[in-house]
Amino acid sequence: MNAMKILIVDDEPHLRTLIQQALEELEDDGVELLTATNGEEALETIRAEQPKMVFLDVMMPKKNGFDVCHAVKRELGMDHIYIVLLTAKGQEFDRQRGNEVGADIYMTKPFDPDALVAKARSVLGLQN
Amino acid sequence: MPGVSLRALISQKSASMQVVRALCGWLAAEVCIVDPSGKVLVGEPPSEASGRVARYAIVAGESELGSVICADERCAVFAKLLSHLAERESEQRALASETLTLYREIHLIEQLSEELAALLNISAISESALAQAKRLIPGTHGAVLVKESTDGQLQVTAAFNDAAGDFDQARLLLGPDSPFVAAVLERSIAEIVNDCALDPRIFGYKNGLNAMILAPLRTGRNTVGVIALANANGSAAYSAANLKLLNTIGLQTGTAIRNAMLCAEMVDSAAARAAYTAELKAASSVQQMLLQSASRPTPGFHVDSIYLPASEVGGDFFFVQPGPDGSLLAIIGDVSGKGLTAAMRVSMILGVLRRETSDDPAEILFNLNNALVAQGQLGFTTACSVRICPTGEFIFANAGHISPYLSGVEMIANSALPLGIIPDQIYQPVKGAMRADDRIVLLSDGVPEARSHSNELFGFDRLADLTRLSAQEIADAAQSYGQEDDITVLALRLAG
Repeated sequence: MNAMKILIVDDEPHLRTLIQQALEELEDDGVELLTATNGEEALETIRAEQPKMVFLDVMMPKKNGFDVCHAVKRELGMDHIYIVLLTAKGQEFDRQRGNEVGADIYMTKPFDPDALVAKARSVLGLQN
Repeated sequence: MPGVSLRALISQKSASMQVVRALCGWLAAEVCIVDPSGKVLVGEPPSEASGRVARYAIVAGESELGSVICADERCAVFAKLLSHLAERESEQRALASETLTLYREIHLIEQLSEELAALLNISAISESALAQAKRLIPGTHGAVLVKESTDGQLQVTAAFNDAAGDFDQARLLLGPDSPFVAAVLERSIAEIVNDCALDPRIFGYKNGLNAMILAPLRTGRNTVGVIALANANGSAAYSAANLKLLNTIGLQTGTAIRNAMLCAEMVDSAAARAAYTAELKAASSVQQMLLQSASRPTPGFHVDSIYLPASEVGGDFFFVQPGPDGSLLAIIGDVSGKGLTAAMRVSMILGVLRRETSDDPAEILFNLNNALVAQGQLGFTTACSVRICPTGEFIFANAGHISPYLSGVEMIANSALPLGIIPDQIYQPVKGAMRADDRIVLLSDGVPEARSHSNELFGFDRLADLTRLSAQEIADAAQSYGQEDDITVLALRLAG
């Protein structure tokens, strides 16, 4: 597993750009930012690149974030990959579902860019 | 325009790289893309055999990102296309940057709201608000000033100074005497001063600051203070967006500070009430003790007394003591007013009565009246004094008090003013005689003025019959009817 890869999964290009730009400062610490535009592509990238952390949108075509998370954590046995579920909803039901499929944390959009970076630094073991 | 690198634009995984590859194939010529330092990013430098090589700049805004080097003139279009893609990428980054700033602001404002909701201390609220303002709006100096709820004077409740050197002069512009702070406080409108040195309010005053931004701490129509940031950096200038942000923070902070002030007032008020209640309880104990000690054994007479104050301390009093000739002297009274003031007056009256040497009811009232007038206290006191001899002969005088009853019959005295109004008031004595089975009842107005739930007074019509009962029964009847005032009953009869 490459310890310094982060995968950003969102079907909305502008949101991918936003997350990417928010995390861009981590590139100075040697972190590589990867992107995927849907659930299936996300799973392929995870299998191939084995990132340490995934920012995963919930509502996506082909395979939604819950399914991707469940596949990674329960089916592929990649429980060590830290998954942040990102959703525009904030319903308790979604939060429970996220817990059930093994998501490590659940963040709502609009996300706090500082919190995103802080969480990534913490997971990757980088200094603030 | 946010920087975009040519390396990122044509990275292996980027969409632009696919266009670059397609174009290179279409040109079928040796093409090379280099960054500004000349480092090759795509392709190989054209060989001399390919002809006259030209260099076409790739530009985004004012910045040159690199060049396309090729012998084919069509590469000018290639460079223009890459410039266009770079411009687009740059615009996207600018939009993303702005959106991230908005996201950050939303979260900081939300965080501030949560922090303020949990705080009830003005200093902590000010510190929190200033810290968040500093995160959202650049500044080398900052302060929160809050009006004291007592005298309206401005106090600095939070401040910071991140600039090097001595900035006492700058502090003057962020302190209670600042003309900018005064203006914002007076008009309750936020303000930007982007060139402090040229502002006529401080013209010629060297302050070390270049720009200031201030917002009122508002709650409803009240302005409880001001939050201000300043910047000592040479090129610093505040924007309308900064002003709106600071205004939002000011509104939230103003509400939180007002809540904290109200909470502090409630706590003070509760503490004052608790202290007053404790004082009343102490006064009640003292008064009960004084009233008990005011009644001495009176051999040859049966004295039945009841005292039911309407609250902790009452304004009624009674005094019973034996005379040197075996007679009984009894006085009942009621001071105007309530609470501790009335209780203190009762204490004073009992003290005067204890020192009284006369056993003449009219003279006792005369002396007590002069003592009260001499005290110069506001209000008045009603009292009725009676002296009963062992033979049953009695004499009484009344100073505006309810008439005494002799075995259910009202005994009318000459009308006279209550005590404590004018000096040297004469009280006319009335004489009479009681038989062995007669009873003289003295009572306070708490009995006839008892009021039912339907707002009906107990009244005097029922009083005569009631006075045939024991003191306890009279008091119980009035209390169960609806006690409004202190109830005092003295029932006196010969023992033989």
